[in-house]
Amino acid sequence: MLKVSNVTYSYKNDQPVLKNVSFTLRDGIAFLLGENGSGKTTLLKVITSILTSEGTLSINGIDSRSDEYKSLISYLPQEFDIYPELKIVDILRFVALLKKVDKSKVNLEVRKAAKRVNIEDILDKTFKKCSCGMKRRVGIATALIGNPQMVVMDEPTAGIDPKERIAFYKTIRECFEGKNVLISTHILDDIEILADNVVMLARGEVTYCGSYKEFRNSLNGRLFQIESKVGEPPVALSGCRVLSSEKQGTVVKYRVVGDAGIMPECAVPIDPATEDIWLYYQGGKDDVGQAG
Amino acid sequence: MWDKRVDVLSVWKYYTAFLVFLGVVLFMRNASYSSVYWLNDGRPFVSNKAYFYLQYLTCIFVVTITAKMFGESFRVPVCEYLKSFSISTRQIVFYRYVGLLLSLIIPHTAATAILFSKVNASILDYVVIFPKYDPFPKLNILIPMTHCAIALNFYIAMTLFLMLIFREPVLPVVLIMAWCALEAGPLNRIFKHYDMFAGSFTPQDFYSFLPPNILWMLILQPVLLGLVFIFYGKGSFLNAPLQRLIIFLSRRHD
Repeated sequence: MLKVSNVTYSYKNDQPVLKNVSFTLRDGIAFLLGENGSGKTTLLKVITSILTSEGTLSINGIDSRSDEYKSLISYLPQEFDIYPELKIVDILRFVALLKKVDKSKVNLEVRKAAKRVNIEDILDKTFKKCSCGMKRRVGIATALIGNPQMVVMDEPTAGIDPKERIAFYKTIRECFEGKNVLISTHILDDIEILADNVVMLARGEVTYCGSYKEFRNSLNGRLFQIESKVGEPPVALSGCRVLSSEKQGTVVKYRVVGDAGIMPECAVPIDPATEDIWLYYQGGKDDVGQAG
Repeated sequence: MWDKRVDVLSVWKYYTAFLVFLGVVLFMRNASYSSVYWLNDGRPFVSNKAYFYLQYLTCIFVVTITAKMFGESFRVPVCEYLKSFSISTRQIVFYRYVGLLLSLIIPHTAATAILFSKVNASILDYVVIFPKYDPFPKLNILIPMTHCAIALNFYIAMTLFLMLIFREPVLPVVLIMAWCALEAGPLNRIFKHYDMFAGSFTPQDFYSFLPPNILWMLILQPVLLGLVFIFYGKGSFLNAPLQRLIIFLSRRHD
């Protein structure tokens, strides 16, 4: 279980990127969501001790300031391309030794990790000659070495095609069963495939932390569409939030969140898409309280 | 723990080339052939091409090997990745630097000793041909060994420092190679005794342990290495002053 309490981080002379971030993640696959610049990568770097922040972090009760903490966590950066001119087996050995795996067990650990991600046959291949999908598998193998309690991945599917993405997530699900995995992404499809839990960051603050099921259902029965003709006076929407608007010819369609009781008669209930939920927790288009 | 195998695999081709180069230099008559002269103030003067091979050309090998060995560790994504492990800067930079220094300095010092014993033999031959310079003092082999060891360590320190600034290996190597190219041209005439490669294209004082260029290299290298050891893996070096300057200027503009 990862516990993050009151984490604040700012780069030099800048506004804080993370503002008093607190959440708890239980075992399972969690997605860290947020727009570009919302502080996702910074938070991952704080969790992996690459950056030192205010506040406290712990994994299964072990504090981030203790030496043991780093051995509990595996980090897979966005582009894993360390020592591209070396063979995969040498890269895995290198990571195993960095993780302080006993020298006599290094070869065994490397073979074990390679077998789990199905790269046993290409261990003698140079890393730079591998396909994008193979490189991701090597990355997962490095994360598997040392049997970590928690795995942190920074946008691991950025730039890969849907087929490889699905294969990648299948491997993640198989390899990290029962572990705490935190994956940052802004690809909404990824969440639907894999998420057990979701953490949403907006402007350096946590706007949602909980199960994906609750996240997915959070706008059920509260999302409406209101149509308005261009140029007409705005529809008063006291207590509601406009998530998005789309102009279609002379009509503008608004997606509005609010309780059914306070919606105008023209409001039509609609099923929320993941984008709506995303916008809702990101702060939406605006919260002016009127459409039109 | 740092896997030394990774370093060996990264540099073995270049290191082998370096050893072959030293071996070839030892067999080159041109490298040890020396002429001698008495200066007007009565000091002995020896002229040869030894430092062209032992410092100038060696620098190219040393810089390449250092960049190949440390280049990955200085790239920002890799540096960050390494920080996610329980491994200290001492292990990532210092111990590896010591290992690299020893593995370069031992064969190089041996080659310097052999080459300068040949230089001494060449001086004797020269004096036999031109007896007006007789008796001419032999060179103390420890002096060129000291010069070359200091210079070699400086090349490593300079490469590491440039990689610290640029956070990648290619630009430092290109910059140093460009500097080397200029050294073969006008720079050695401009800086004379203070030139980094004094002795390669211009005369060197083989009778002093610390001629001007070796002295400034000796003074500068602990500073460069100190900065590398202190600031490795920290975002504050040079980035931060630059950021502060940009913020200061943008605020003034506002």
